Amino acid sequence: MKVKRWKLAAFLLPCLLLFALIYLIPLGMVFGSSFFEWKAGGVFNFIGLDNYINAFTNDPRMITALKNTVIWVLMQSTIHVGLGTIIAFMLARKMRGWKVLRTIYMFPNVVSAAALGVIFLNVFNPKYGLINSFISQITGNDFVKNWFFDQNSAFITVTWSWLLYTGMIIIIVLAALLAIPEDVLEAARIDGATEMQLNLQVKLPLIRTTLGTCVIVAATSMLREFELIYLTTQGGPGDLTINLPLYLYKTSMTDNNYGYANMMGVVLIVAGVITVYSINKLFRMNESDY
Amino acid sequence: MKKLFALLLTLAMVLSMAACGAKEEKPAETPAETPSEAPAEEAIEITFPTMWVGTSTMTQWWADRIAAFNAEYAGKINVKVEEIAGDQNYVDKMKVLYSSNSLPDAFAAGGYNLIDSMQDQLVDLTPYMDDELKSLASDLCWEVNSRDGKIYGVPQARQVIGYFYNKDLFAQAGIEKPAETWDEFFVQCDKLLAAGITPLSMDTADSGWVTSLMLCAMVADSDAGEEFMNTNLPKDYNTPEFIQAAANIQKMFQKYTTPDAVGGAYENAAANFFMEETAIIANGPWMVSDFYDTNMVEEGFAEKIGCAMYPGGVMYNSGKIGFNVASKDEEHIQATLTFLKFINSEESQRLMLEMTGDVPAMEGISSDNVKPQVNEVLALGDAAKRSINDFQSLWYANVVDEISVQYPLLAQGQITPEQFAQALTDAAAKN
Amino acid sequence: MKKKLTLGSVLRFLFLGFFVAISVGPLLWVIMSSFKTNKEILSNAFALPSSWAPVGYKAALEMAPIGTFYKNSIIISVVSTVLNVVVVSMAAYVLARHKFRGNTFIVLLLSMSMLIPTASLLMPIYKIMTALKLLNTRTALILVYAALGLPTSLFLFRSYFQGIPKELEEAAYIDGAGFFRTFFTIVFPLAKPGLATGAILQFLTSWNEFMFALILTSDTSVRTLPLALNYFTSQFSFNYTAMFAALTMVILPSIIVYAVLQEQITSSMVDGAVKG
Repeated sequence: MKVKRWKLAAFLLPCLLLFALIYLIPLGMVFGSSFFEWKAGGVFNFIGLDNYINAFTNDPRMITALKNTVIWVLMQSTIHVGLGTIIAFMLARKMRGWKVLRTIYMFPNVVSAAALGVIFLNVFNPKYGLINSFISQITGNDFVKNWFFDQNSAFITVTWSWLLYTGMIIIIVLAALLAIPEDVLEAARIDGATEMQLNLQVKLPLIRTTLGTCVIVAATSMLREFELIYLTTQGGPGDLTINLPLYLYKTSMTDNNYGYANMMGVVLIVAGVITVYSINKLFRMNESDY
Repeated sequence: MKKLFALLLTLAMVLSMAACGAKEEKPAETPAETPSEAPAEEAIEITFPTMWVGTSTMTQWWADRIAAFNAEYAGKINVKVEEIAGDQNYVDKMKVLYSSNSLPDAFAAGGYNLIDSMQDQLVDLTPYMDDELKSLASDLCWEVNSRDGKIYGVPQARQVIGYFYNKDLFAQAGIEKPAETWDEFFVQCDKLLAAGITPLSMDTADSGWVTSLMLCAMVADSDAGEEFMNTNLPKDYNTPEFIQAAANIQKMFQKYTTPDAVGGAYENAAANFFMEETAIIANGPWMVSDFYDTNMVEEGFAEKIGCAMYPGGVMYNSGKIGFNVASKDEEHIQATLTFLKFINSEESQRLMLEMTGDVPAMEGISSDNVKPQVNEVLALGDAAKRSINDFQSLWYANVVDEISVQYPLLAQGQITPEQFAQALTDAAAKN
Repeated sequence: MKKKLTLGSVLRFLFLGFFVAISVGPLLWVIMSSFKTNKEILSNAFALPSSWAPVGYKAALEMAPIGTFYKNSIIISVVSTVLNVVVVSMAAYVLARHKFRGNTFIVLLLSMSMLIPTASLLMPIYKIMTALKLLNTRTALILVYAALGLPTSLFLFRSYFQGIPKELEEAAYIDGAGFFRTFFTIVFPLAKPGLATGAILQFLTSWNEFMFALILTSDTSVRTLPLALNYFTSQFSFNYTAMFAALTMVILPSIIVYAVLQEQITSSMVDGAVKG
């Protein structure tokens, strides 16, 4: 089918306008100022690539932040999406109470990060928190572990606060699973496919683009994750749980070093574009299935 | 389905119109009373964001003062108040406003030092100093708000801080009175431990206020240290006094405090003291009203609490950063100063002392209507051998921030006191 | 048909149960804590409250302008959601269905918006809103929130439209329906489950956003609910009871709204236009 170009443009325009209004100027500013030494008090000098060179050769905190960001992106796009997909497949069998479960799993995503931060700090509190009380009850000994601030547990405790909460993935995948036309499945059943084969060989490929969406949403959310770390460990102990958005925030808000902060913004955006592009390719998201 | 869409569209239009309509009302701009008799001159509007809202101890005092000001200056000066709950949010918003060159007419960040990072947009108040303004605060307080002889802030309060201790718990451990040297202090900590009592409340989050007060008091236990703790924006923390104090803090973390100290905030430290699980907490007199609040403590808790000077006769006894002015023209500067003079008048300061326990910037203000511990702290301040200022007023903002990052490492022995000092020195060098 | 209790079903029960526990537990704890005194909260986080009197709720409502914030949160979240869904679904449809030069470029450009860190956006958007004279209005927050959800909605909607069989649209064209009519009467309804999912996510984004609400507004009369939470822990004082009461008041409605909307989607999926 052939549609007149102006009609396509008319459909795209509102969205592009919204984008331009909110994002275009900030984007330009982030990119432009990353080549400047720009600090509070009117310091503004062109320094070319110095911010970038400095970051990668002379700033151990930057490297740690980058490394943690990558680890979290990878974990989130594999473990997090995988878990959510498995649960969605379980719920798609529509056993008793599946709707209730689907709703319950979304609860933590409904709650604002500000609230979640407070909750997690208390759940993992070394003195009276849920986890320590629970372990003390079971073992009968007084168990004291400072989950968020102990070198050995800080990283995994911070990770906990988002890795296992897969409600978003569940509803997206579940909606896609339930939208698969019944006749497609019927045909496969007639061919003698087992439930497992149906899941792995028919349904999974059919929701390919949706999975791609999930991976993109999960990966990019980690490229932006900031509030939960800020509200719990603030990147500590030391730099153990710092990531790039948090380091950017500190550089901009406490060091007032805007140019350097925006350099990190560029690094994040570039990393993100590469991520989105490769996921797009990997899941062949530009092709329709039908 | 067409109906659904039409419905959605209508809804969108109605709601956005409602939103726009509501916007035009802007109800908060209307002052409580409209001037009926003097319409010739338009009231000057000045902006002031306040963090004294909600549970803050200053909330009531502030509401009282702003109502009084509005009553007196109705039709002349209209203070547009923005409520910003949470001190970190307050500072964050000021930084965004600063970077967009649109700071409010006046602001007060609760002791955080924004003068050094925002100096270029602040009004130099030196030319506006008249006898009335000058009389509102002691010379020391003005000095804390000055840079290179220029005044950038109107002081509001003095910073007088020692530590509080629980007499009951001290008695249980056989301690008669607060220690006079740090060696004695640690002996007392051991006695408390032996009696099964955790000696100290400590924290690390939000710059580890309680812990850092101890740290800096230890630093100041010598002439060189005292000078260091009265130096604005120090760059080098690699001094013997500082490293020794950091070593002692490490010992305190590892031996003398609660398991939730590392990572904990002021609330956790205060809660442990309120629940009589710790015997000592460093903090200022604004805390005293909580000693009497049975939501926080058991009945009769306040009678058990004594006030002490830090070993070596050290007290925090200095000025606090007060109100900064960033008005863009003369008219607004004048209006803002009128407002600040009112807010800092002798009457306002006495009310502040009575309602909040914060110590007035003006000398000689006292009241019979305050809790005994507040006056005790004030007396200790006057009797101190060494007077110092606090780290939040003195140090670079990012150094204050770095403390929270480094304390957990120090506490867990991941870094040495020397490395701790070096980390703060590195942070200071970024400025 | 009666199912046997197999090892597999026990494991599945435990697996799903674990996630229920970690999802619901913290929320129940918040609600429970809102009835405890500060002392009780800080001594034992998991003991039951000594009284169920709503003292904390009274205190919270007195201390913070929660009613006004509520009204604003509802207006802003609903309008930004409608704006987002309508605007983004049109673009997503074109990008999903029509091959043209620059298609991929536009997708990548738009998706960049989800990569810009919030901290980098604050100052420029503050300046833009100042220039548009939208500072301190609900409109500013509506626009920003609709844009914040733009990339997520775009991806969701696009993959949805791709999953809808083309034949239905082609049939409509053959019947003489134009481009616009085909979209609004055929495609839009077909994609309702996807659109609803996007709408929910968008609503939650708007409902919970904090930083822009703080920076772009200054009057209490136009501010939103997340700003209420900080009224209960200030520099040197705290009221946990009131804070947890406020948390409950922030959390519960969004959970209820969510649960109700969830039911909506389900029924729309049962309608099963897709099956047709």
